[in-house]
Amino acid sequence: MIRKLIFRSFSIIHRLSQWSRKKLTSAGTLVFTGIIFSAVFGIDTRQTHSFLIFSLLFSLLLLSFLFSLFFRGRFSVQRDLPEYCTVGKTMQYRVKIKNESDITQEDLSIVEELGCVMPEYSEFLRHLKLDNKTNRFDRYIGYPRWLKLVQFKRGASIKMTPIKSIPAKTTSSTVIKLIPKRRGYIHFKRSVLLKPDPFGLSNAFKNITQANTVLVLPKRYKVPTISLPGIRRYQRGGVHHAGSVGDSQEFISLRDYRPGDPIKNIHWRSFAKQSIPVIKEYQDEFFVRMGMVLDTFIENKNELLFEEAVSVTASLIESPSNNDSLLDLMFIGNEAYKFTSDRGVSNLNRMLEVLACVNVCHDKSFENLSTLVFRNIDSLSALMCIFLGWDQARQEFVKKIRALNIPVLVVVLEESSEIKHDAGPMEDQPRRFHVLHQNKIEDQLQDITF
Amino acid sequence: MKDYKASALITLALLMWGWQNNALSPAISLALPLLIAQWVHWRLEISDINFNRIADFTSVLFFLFIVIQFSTKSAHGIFAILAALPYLFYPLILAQYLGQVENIPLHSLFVSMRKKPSDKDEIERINLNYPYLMAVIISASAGLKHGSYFYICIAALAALSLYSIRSRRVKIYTWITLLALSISMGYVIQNGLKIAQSKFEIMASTFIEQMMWRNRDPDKTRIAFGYIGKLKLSDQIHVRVQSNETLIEPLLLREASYTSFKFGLWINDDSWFESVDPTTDKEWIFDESSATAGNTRPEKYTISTYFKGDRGVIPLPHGTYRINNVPATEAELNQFGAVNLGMKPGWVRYDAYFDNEMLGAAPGEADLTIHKNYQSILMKLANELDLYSKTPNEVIQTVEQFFRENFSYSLEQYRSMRGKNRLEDFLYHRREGHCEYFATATTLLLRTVGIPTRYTVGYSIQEYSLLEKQYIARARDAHSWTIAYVGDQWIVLDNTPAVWAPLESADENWWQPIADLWSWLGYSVSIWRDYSKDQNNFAIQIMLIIVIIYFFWRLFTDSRFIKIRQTTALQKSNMSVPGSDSPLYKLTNLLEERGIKRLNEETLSTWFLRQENNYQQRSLLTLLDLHYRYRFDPVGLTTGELEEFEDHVVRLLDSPYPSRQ
Amino acid sequence: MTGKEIYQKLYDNIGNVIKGQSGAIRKLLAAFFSGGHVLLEDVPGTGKTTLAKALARSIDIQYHRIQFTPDLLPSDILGVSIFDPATQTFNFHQGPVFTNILLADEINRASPRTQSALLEAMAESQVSIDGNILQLNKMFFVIATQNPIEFHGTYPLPEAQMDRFAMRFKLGFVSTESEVMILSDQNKQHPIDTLLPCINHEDVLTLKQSLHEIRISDELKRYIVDIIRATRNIKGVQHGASPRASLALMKTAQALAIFDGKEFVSPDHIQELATTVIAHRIVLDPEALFSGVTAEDVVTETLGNTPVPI
Repeated sequence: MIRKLIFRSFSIIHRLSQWSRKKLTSAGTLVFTGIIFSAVFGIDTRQTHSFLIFSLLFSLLLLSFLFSLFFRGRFSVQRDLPEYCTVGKTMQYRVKIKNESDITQEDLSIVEELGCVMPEYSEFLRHLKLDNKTNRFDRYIGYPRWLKLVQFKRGASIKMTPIKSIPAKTTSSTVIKLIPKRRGYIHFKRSVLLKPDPFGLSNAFKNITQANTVLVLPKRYKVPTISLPGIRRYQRGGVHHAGSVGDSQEFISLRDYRPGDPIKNIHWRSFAKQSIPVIKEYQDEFFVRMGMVLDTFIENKNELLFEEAVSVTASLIESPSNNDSLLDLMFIGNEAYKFTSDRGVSNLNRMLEVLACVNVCHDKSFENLSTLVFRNIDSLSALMCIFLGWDQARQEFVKKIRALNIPVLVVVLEESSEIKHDAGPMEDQPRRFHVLHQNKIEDQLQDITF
Repeated sequence: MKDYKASALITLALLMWGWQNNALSPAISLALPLLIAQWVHWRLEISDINFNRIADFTSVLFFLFIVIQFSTKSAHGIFAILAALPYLFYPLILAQYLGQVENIPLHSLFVSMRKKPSDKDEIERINLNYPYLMAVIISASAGLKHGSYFYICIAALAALSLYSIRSRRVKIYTWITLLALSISMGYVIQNGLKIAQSKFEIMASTFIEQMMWRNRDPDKTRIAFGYIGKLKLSDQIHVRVQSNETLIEPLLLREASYTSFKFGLWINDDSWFESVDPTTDKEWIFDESSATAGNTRPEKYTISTYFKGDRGVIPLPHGTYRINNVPATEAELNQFGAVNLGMKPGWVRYDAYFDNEMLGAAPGEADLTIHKNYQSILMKLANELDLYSKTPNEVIQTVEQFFRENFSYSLEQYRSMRGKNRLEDFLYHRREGHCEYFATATTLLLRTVGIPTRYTVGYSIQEYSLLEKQYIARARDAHSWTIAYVGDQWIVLDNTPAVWAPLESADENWWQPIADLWSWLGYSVSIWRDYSKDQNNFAIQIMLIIVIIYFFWRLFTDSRFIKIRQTTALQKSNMSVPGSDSPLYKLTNLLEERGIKRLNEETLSTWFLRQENNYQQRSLLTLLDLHYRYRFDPVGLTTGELEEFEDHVVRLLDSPYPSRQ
Repeated sequence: MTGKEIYQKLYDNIGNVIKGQSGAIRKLLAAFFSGGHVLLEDVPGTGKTTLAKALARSIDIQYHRIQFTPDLLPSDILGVSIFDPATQTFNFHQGPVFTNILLADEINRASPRTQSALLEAMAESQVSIDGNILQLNKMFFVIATQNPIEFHGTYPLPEAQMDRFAMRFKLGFVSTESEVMILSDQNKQHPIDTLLPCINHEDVLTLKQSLHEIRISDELKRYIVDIIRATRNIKGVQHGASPRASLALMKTAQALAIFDGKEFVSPDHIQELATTVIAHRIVLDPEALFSGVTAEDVVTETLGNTPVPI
C-alpha cells in the first residue's frame, strides 16, 4: 500500500528532476546547493553569517530565473537519423538547427526528448524481480530501478549537447550520440533548445516539436559459419521469383555455342557480330532454403531469456552462411514471415526489422507454432530452431521434422546452467543440439560447431 | 589543463575564511599547496580507484569529526563542523590539483554510484574547484566578524566567479546592472532576515521552557506537586561517580538544601553565596579544619556532572571539605552548603574529599518554622504519633517506622488539588507518593517537635555501569531527603521507600544501552578534551599522523609522478612555415578578441565572411588576398608589395573599428 | 584567353541549359580539366544526361552514351572484331569507349565483368582486344551514374574500383525558383538542342596545360596529406583514402585555382572539394554502417579535426 503510494510519486519526482536538470546549469546547481546549505547553517542569524550568503545567492538565482523567462527566436530542427541502429552500440546522428530569426543565437544547447509510456505498477513489480544486484533499501523503494525501467522503455538517454553559435537565417548542425538500450522503435518527440541567462545560472527553454523514429535492431553476437547440408530443392522461377509463382528463368551470361545447345537459346545479336553462335545461358535455381523458428511462448520464464533468444536468432541470421543457402522464412510465434528471396542485403535488413519488433506470447502455446511450420514444410530444406525450453511438445516437433528427412539445428536457451537437457530426438546428431545459458551466450556461441 | 581563475578564487576565499575564523596561517598553508601545484610541471598520476580511496578517507574523517563535535557540544557542534569545512574537504581538492586533472569521477563521491568497471557508459565527472569554493565561502560565515565587510567580500567573490563564466554574448553593461541589482537585493533580504529573526525570537521566548536539563536553582525549588498523571523523569545520565570502594547502600550526593516551605515551594529566604578562593590552580577548600585534619587515607569520590551554562551547583557528598582537580574559574559556597562552580559548559569533573562533618551552617529559626497552612495537619499527625513525649532519636525512629509501614512509593498523581490539601491527602488518604512528598513530610514533621531540619535535593547513586566502570545517576535518580540537626550535628534522613529506584528503572527503554553508550562517548571525549590536554593529546596526534602517512603511502605506491611535457603546436613539425610573420595576424588577433572566434577548420576567408556588420569587409578581403599570396604562393610577395601590405594593415588597425553590438 | 575566361565561358554556356546547379557544374569542370572521372549518384530525372551532353556540346567534342543493362557485354563497350568475308580479315569496330566524353548510365546494372571492362579502360587509357592494344583519346572523360534507389538486381561498384573516380557527388533537386525556370525554358523546346560550342579543343588543352603551372606550397601539400591520412585512423573506417586521393585532391584544387583566376592553390579550394574527392574512397566497417555513420560524416569530421593553415 505504501509502496504503491511511493510508486505514484516516482513520475512526479522524475519530471521534477528532469525539469531541474534542464533549467539549472551546473553553475546554477552549485548556487542552488549553496542556497540550501547556507539556509541550514544560517537559520540563526546570530550564530553565523550564513544568512548573508543565502541572501546574495538567493537574489542571484531569483534574477537569473526571471531573466530566463525570455527567449526570443524562432527555430526549426531536422534530424538526419539512420534507418537502423543496434542495441548497445553507439549510434550517432546529425541534428540541424535552423535559426529563423534575425539575430545570431549563441550559447545554445539542445536536449532531445524521447517519448515514453510510464510503466504500470504491475510492470514495475515484475521488473523488480528481475534485477537483484542492488541493496535492500533500493529494492524496497525502488526509485533507481524505476528510473532504469523508464530509460529502458524510452530506449536511450541522450545528454545535453552544446551547439555552435548560429548566425541569423543559417543552419548549424551538431552530432548527437546515443546508446540504445532495447530493441524496437525509439520515438523522438521534440527538441528543447536551452539558452542560459546573463549570469549563466539557469536556462530558458524553447520547445520545438519534431517527431522522428528510428528502429533499434537486436543485439547480435558473432557466430561461426553455419552450413546445413540439405537437399537442394528446385526453386521454380529462379532467384527473382523463388517466392512467388512464375516460369521465367534467370539469365546469367552469354557463352559460346556448344554442340547440343537448344537453338532457342541463341543470342542472335551477338551471333551477328561474331561469326560463331552465341548462347544465352540460363540457370535454374536450386538452393537450400532455410527456415528459422523462434519460440515466443515464454510461459513462466523471465523476459530477459526471450531477449537473448531474439539476439541469438539475429546473430544466426547475420552470420556468413554458405552462399548456396537462403534464409528467408521465419516462424515467430503465430506468424510466418516470408521474405522475397534475393541474395542481397535488403533481405537481412527486413528480417532484422521483424525481429526488432517481436513480442513474447503469454497466452498461446507451442502447438500453434508447430502447426504453422508444417503447413509450409514443402519449400523448406533445413530448419533452425531457437527454443525457450525443451519440453515434450518441442521434442515431438523436432522428431516429426526429422522424420521428414529435414536437417534441424536446435538451440535451447535456459536461465541457469544447472538445467541440463538430454538431446532427446537429436541424440544421434549432438553437434546440432546446443543448450545455451542466459549469461554466457556470447562465449557459448563462439564454440558452436556444426 | 590549468584553471588559474579557479585557484585564484579559492585562494581568495580561503583568505576570507581565515580572516573570519582567526585562522589566517592555516588558510595560507591550505592555499599554498594548491597554488604551487598549478605552477609545477610535475603531475601525480591518480587513478579513479585512488580517488575512491581518497574520498572514503575524507568521509571517514568527516564522520569522526561529526561524532566528536556532536557528542561534546550536541547541537552546537554543527558550527564547529561548519568552520572546519575547508579542512575536511581538503584531501579531495588537493588530489585534483596534484593529479593535474580537470575533474574527478563523480562516483568517487557517492558510493551508490560505484558500478562494476564493465559498464560501458561514460563516467560522469565533476570539477571540484567550484564546489570547494562554495564550501569555503559558506564555511567562512562561521566566524562572526564584521558583517558588512563580510557581505562586501562575498559579493566581490561572487562577482569574480560569475565574471569568469560570463559568456561573450552578454553585454557587459547588462551584466553589471544585473549584478548590482542582485547585490542590493541581497542586502535588503539579509536585513529583512535579521529583523524577522528578532521578532520571531520575542514571540518564541514566551513559549520556551527548559525541561531538558534541570538546572538547580539554589534559591528555590519547586516540588512537582501539581502535575496530574505520571511523573516520569528521563533516563539521561546526569552524574557519574567514581569510587574506589563498592557502595553498599545508595550514596546520596547533595546539591542544595532549603529551609522554608511555602505554597508548594521549598525556598531559602535569605541565601548568600560567599566566594571561596582557590588554594591552588584547581583546588578549593571549604572546611579548613577538616582539611588540616591530616587524614592519611582521605575518602574521596571523583564526581562528574554536566553544566549547560557556565555556572552551576554541583552534587557533593554531605561532608565535603575540599574539591580538587577541577579547572573552574571560581567557586562559591552558601550557608546551607551548596557549592556553586563557574566553569565552561560541558562535563565537569572534580575530586570531592569528605568526612563525617556535614557542610553547612548551624540551624537557625527558619529551620524550625512551619507555615501556618500546614501547622494544623502536622501537629495533628505529631499527636497521633505521640512525638511530643519522645526523645529526638526516638522521634526519628518513630517517624521512619511510620512511613515505612504505612506508605508506598508512587509517581502517579490523580486528583488536582491545592498544595496544602495535597499534603493532607498524602499523609492521611493516599499514603503514597514520590520522594518529594516523603522528604517534605519528614522535614516538616520533625520541626513540630523542635528538631531543626532542612529539605535537601540531589542525586541518589545506586547504579553501577559496567561499561564505564563507575556509578551513574540518571535524571530519574534525582532525589530529595531530609537533614536533621540532632546531637550537635546534621544527619541524613531518607524516608522514601527503598523500592523507589527499582520501580523507576522498570520502565527502561530497550534502546537505553545505546543511549548510555552514546552518553559515555560524549562524556569521555569532553573529559579528555578539557582535562588531559597534555599527554593524551600527544598520543592522538601521533595516531592521526600515522593514519595520514598510511593513506598517502598507499597513494604514492600506486601512482607515478609524470612530467608534463609542454608541446606547442608549431614545434612538432620541422618545417618552418612561410609567411608566418604576416602582418595580417595582428588583425586576426584583434578580431578574435572582439568578434566571433575562428573555428579550428575554418579558413580565413570563411571566417572573414562570417563577420557581420563589418563595413570594412571589402578592405579585409583585399588584405586577405595579399595574405594568401604571402603565405601560400611559393613565389610570395615582392618587398614593395609586402610594405604596401603592412601599411594597409596599420591603416586598418588605426581606423575606428565598430565595436560589437 | 586566360584559363579563367575559358572556364567562365564554359560555365555560362552550360548554365544556359542546366539551371540551379552551379556548384555541381563547377565540380564537374574541375574534374574534367584535371583529367579525372566523375561518378554521379543520383535519382533519375535530375539532369545527368543533359549535363553530360551540354558539356560535350559546349566544346564540340565527341560524346557517347552507354545505357548499362544486365546483358551488356564487354564487347558492347570496347568494341568487337568482326570478320569481313570479303577481305578474309577481322576488322575491329570501335566501341563507344573511343570517344571524348562518355556517359555510362546506370553503371551498377551491368555485370561485374562488363563494369571492369570500362573501369580498366578508364585506368589504362587503352584497350586490348584480340591481342591488339588500342589507345583511347587523349581527352577522355567518363561520367558514370548510379541509381541509389534500386538495389534489386544491381551490382554495386566494388569499393576498390571507386577509387578510379576522382569525384563523386550528386546533383540533387534544385530550388523552387530554378525548377520554375526549367519549366519556362523547356516550354517550347529543350535548350540543349540549340546549344552551340563556345570553346574549342585547343582551348581545353591550353587550360589543361596551365593547370600544371599552378603553384602549390609545401604547407598545403602537407595539409592535403594530413587530411587523407587522418581518414585512415577514424573509428569505424575499415579502409581510408589512398594516395590516389591526395593526388586527385591536389589536381582538382589546382583546377579550381585557375577557375578563380589565381596562380596558386589556397586552403579554401582544398576544403571545397575535400568531401567530393575523398568520401567515396572510404570503406566503413559494417558496425559503423549500422550506426548511421556515413562517409561524408567521416570526411567532415576529419576536416574539423585537422587544423587548416591560416
